[in-house]
Amino acid sequence: MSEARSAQNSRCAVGLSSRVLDKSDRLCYHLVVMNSEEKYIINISELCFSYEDEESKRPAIDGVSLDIERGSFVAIVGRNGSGKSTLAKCLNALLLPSGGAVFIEGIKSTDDSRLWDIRRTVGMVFQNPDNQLVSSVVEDDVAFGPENIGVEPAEIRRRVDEALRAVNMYEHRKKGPHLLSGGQKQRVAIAGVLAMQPDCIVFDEATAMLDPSGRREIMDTISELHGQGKTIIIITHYMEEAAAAERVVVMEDGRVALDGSPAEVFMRGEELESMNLELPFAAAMAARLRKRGLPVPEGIINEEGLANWICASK
Amino acid sequence: MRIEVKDLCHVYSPGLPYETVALDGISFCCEPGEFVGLIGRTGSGKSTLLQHINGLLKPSSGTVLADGVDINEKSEEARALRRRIGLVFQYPEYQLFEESVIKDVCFGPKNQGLSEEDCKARAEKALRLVGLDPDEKGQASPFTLSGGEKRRAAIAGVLAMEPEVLILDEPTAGLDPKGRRDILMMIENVRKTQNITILLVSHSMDDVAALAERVLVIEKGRVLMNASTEEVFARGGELRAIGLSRPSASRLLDMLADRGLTVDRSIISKEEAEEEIMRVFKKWP
Repeated sequence: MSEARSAQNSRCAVGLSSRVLDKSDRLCYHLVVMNSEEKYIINISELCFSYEDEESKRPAIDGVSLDIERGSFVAIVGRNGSGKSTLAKCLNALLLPSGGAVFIEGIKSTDDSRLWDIRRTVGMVFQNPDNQLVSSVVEDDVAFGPENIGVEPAEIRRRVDEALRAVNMYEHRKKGPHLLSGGQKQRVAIAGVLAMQPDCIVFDEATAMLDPSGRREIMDTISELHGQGKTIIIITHYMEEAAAAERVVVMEDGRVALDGSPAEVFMRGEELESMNLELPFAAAMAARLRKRGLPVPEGIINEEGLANWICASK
Repeated sequence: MRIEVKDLCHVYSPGLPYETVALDGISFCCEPGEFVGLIGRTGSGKSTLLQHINGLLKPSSGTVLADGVDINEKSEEARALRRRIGLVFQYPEYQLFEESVIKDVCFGPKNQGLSEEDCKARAEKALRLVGLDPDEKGQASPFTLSGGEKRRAAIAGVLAMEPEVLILDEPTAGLDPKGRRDILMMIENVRKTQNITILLVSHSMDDVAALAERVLVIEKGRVLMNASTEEVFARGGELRAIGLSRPSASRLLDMLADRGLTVDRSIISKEEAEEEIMRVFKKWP
């Protein structure tokens, strides 16, 4: 599925069979959620996925089980073709499992009648901002999602303003997206997702096409959203971004190869290297200094930590 | 080949309400065999500039000279010159189309009118240059290669035309760390063995710091800085103001300096930063 199509699908949440949930359905849903364990927002169980048009021998996802805690910040890393993006698309039913299951707030992703709930819960931001913007005015673009699910106009206005303020783009609301920088366009795309009020946002290489300040803007926005209690999942090739998360999942050949805190995962430099990955700059520098005989403690993964240690130990 | 850009201006949609000045009086030179890094935020005009250097876009005013000849002249000489300037676009692997890697790489030289034998020799040489074994990967479909290999095969397609100037637009975007390292090593290898002029556009300050001899900073369609890599990356405040940054190694040393250590902040490479930190520890045994 093309990125542009995926982006639109994930924002046009209305499936044919789930135009409106009736009241009893909604009540029932809330009861289920209340009663179920509140700890996890997403449960992935023995997930398998194969692309139909590929005669390839190996499934893209080959038995992945993961539980994503509510309000957590998870980074998924792995070489090109390891299954990261496929996994991401399974998280809001853009792709449906070939085997196993994905539960979003306890709802199975194959439950067509609950597609609305799934897509409302998990929003997605993709790599190329130009593929995700659909209108010629910033605020119209942000309103696109809520309009599609039939939100009241006054409520749309409120949500759009709130979402644009959250990504610091409110002052640009009347502009055409083509007049914005890459980082700004990507922030508008995030606002479009926020206007759907998701509890979880998946960023699929959302910084790959941006310049350093654009990347910083998006990472700052992500950590703010995390601070407000949103569950954040980022997929990235930049280990520095993964180091900012609370948990790092390393994918290899469609399976989970490593899963732990950034400090735990980035202690395993050689394993990461064998999977075409690398250490974040600070961890790599710490490893080099260790080889030179300095007692740099394990678990230093960012510049700040390394600088502090050097100053305290010199 | 020496490239000289003189007072280059480019206006998109002139006369229309959307009129945009993309390039606003750009002048600079690339000497033969030089490695120049080109940095600037998204929308600063980098890609527009690149497309002028191999004649894909025509200037609204100003000139691009290759060895002293205007490449936009309607002469046979200018046409031949344009062919000697190779441009690798962003995500070049999207342009792979042939049934085998070797055929894809042969496409350029074939269009230049070379014999089948010469094409094949050129293609094999180019594939070796990018680190793909022609015997092992030559007959494979380009679509069975990994992301990084596809990218390298696409670059081989440009190298097979034996350009004297190689322009690379974000050649590592979207690749995993190993893929990125492979591409950078390949560029380093091409530079060492081929003696061609290289112009690299990148958002990775670390890559530019590791490879380029000189850096050109573009902002709002103008040249903001044109100096040695060390000089450009010494101007951290100005770079930050236009959305760029210093390389990681320099930023670590900045942090140490901010914490009161005496360190050489002009360092831009990992290796030198490592030595500098070791020196700090030796001073206070």
